[in-house]
Amino acid sequence: MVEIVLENLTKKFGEKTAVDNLNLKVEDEEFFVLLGPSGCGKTTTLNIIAGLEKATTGNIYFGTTLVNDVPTEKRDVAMVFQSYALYPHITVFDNIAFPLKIKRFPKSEFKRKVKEVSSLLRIDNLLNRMPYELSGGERQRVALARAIVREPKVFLLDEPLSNIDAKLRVYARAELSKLQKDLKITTIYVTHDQVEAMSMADRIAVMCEGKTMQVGDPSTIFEKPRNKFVADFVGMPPMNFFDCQVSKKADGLYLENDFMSICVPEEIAGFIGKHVTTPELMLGIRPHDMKILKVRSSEEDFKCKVYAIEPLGTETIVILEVRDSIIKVVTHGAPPVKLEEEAWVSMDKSRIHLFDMKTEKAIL
Amino acid sequence: MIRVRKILVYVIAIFLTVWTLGPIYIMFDLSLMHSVEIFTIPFHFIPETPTPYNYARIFGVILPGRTYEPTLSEGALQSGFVNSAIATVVAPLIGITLSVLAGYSFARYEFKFKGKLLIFLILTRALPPITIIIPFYVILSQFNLLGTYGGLIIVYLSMITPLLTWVLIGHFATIPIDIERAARTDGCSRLQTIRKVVLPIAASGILASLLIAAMMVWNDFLFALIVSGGTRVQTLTPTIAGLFTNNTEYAIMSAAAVLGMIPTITVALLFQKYILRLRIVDPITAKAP
Amino acid sequence: MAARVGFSDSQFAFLIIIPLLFFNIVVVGYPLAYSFYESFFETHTITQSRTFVGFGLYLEALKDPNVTRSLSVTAIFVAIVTLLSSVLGLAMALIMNENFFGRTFLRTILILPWAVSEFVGAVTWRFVLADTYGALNGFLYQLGLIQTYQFWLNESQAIVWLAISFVWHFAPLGAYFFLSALQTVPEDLYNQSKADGAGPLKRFGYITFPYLRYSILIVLVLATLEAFRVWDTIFVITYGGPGKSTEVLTFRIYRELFDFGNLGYACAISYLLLSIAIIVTIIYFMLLTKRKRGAVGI
Repeated sequence: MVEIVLENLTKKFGEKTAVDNLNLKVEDEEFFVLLGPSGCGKTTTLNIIAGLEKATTGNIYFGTTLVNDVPTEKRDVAMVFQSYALYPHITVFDNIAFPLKIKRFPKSEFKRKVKEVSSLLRIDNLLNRMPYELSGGERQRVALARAIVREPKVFLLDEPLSNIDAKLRVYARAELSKLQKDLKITTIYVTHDQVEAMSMADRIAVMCEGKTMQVGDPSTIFEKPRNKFVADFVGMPPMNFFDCQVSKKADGLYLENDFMSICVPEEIAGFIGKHVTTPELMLGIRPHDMKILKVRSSEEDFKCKVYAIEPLGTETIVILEVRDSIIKVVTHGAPPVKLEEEAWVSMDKSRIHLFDMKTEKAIL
Repeated sequence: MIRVRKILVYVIAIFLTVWTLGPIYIMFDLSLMHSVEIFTIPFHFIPETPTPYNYARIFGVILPGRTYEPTLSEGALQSGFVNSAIATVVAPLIGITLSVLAGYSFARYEFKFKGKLLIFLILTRALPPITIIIPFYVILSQFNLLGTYGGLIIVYLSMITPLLTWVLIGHFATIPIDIERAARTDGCSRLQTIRKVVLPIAASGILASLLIAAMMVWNDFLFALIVSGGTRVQTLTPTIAGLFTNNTEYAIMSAAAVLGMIPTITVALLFQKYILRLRIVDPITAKAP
Repeated sequence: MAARVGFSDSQFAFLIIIPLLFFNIVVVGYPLAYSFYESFFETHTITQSRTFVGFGLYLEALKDPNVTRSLSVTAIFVAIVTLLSSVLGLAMALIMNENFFGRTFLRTILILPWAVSEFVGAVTWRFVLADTYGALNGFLYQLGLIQTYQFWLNESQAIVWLAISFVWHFAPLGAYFFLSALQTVPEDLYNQSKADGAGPLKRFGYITFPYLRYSILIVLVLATLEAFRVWDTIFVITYGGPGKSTEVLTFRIYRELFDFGNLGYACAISYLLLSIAIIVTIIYFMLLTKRKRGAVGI
């Protein structure tokens, strides 16, 4: 029940910088996700918040208290690990009771709390088992129970769902979300799975190479990615990107490359004109914002060849080739084309993203 | 072709069995014979007049129908067993206490001098015992520790702690770090983590290394001879050595040797699988929690 | 729990090493330093004389025929032990890897010579090799292989027999290293090669041997190290005799101090021995870590 502030946090391992001048504020009771590919520094950041690693420079505040030098055991954080890290030599009951025993709770008290928590997570029938007898999903819930039982100030979760079957994961996500809302504990969740992040987070910090690329709530991150990395990382299938040039023509601003030519809508044209420094830009458009047509509908559509089709049931991913690039388009139901056929692709212009060739973005 | 191979395998297997068990059997054989029979030519591989007399003498049991001729040997052997037992129990226990903390530290942490200290530890293993026993002898006699349990224990500690530390480093490194991290976030201080989580999990490995250290102490001869030889704390091995210089005592000596072999053979047979499971991991690449 | 907020991780780590460190420095470091110091003085414990001679004792040792003889005796001993224990250990491992009735029995007892201790092994072999009443003589005589009892531990052969006694004790250790290496060989490789028509020798050369290479190295070095340190066997079976034909370096050192009272001299020779041992250990370590840095698979 506390807010967490990371101020200019940097962590170096010898020459390698794992966390680079991070500045974050996690609000009280928030479900905050650190999202990023492997090696981006998210787990290191989590460890530093927990106190398991020491920052090279920078400050961490829990509320208004500076906790840089407070040892892990005094920070009142509870952590759930990817491997669950259950104590293998004691029963499930003792595992969950462990943090309470360390805090010297009287026996009657911790017995009660353990029972409460285990019925909440529906593992009360497992209390006398040993960790090696449990399945992956059961172990995960025991790890959660152990974290919850002491009502800590902060929850830290390090990819706790990655060892769970894909199908169970959907349920587990929902359960976790609900749990966190009920318990109202500030939570920091680390993952590389953007679906997890999008579905559970109040706010997300997208990280890459130790730096934050963007911090915001899921819809903002999705709708208004601030740079190419974020745009590419979030969204499944990922965004399509084309190089193009801005050229001013008689009837307006055009974005063109060797296979397409698009007239920029008026509202945006002015904005582009003001903010764009070089004529080379990168255009991004999500697969869901494109359509496949058998027949050309406008001058702005362009021709592609169908390279592969991935039917997913309600949606189909169509992979097309144009010149040397591959693009992906999502259609509802079956697409109107077959393999190796030619098709026309049209874009929803209001959903275009433009990026400076150097990682910046101009407009939605 | 396959049959030839099978035959070859069996032949070699039989040879190895005889080779391995032969000497042990001979000792056992000797222990059941009277001195007279021992020196009969040719050697009796099976005693013609087997007798428990030798063992009886060691245990101080008087057998009916035999005159009891007590010599100094029995007393010496009895105290020899006791002294060896004391050293074998005390030294590993103290050694483990020293080595566990050090082993854990090497396995989990980085600190100044770690590399150099590890090298020092390795080189201690390279030390030929004779090199260290010479100054030990002189220094211990200066402090009047020769012929005392204290001196013996100190010497044995120097012998077993490098190996204990080395094995423990490897063993601690096999414990997943996340478990220790979980203990820290659950509220354990570093010492509490070691006490409540690491040690219980490492218990089997610690026990295995205790057994190895105990065997080293029980089987030792050089250190025992120099530090305890001829004194009231003389352990078993020098006592036995004192007996084979005197031919007539070969009988009781072999019985003592057999009894001396029993603990180590028992441990080897029962705990073999257990001790061999101790994986030795390179401590240089282990990590901190 | 007292507030230990002050200790950083590396401070803590160092702190808990201190008991062991202190012990090692006092109990190991000090005697070693003392020995080194004493090696510069010609001291006789019997006559109580003491003169400073600098490196004189070291030079004397290198010229001393007793010492040079010890070195060659040691070299012969080490060579025989290393060779025999590798061969025997390999044979043991290969057999233990085979499937046959009684394999578990063999596996269990094979470690016994190592468990039983070098000392007890030596005591037994002493009896076995005895000339007037020994078991070996009795065995061979009763089988009709010899007509009279032999004096096995004679000047020229004794060291070989000592090596055999030591190999009896040491080989099982090598066998276990080899065995664990053998067990990493995938069964399929053998099956495939049998289907391809390869005979047992070819199979050993092309399949088994590559997996064994690393462990052979380890066993060779281990055997060398252990053979260098031999002492119990020498004392028990021959006490360096007959004459001085079985005085290995460690035993020479022992005699210099405990039979002749030359403290300084004994220290000097023991430091020579230590240097050899350290060099071998360093080679061992270098070969070990070089393997780790270079190898990817086997």
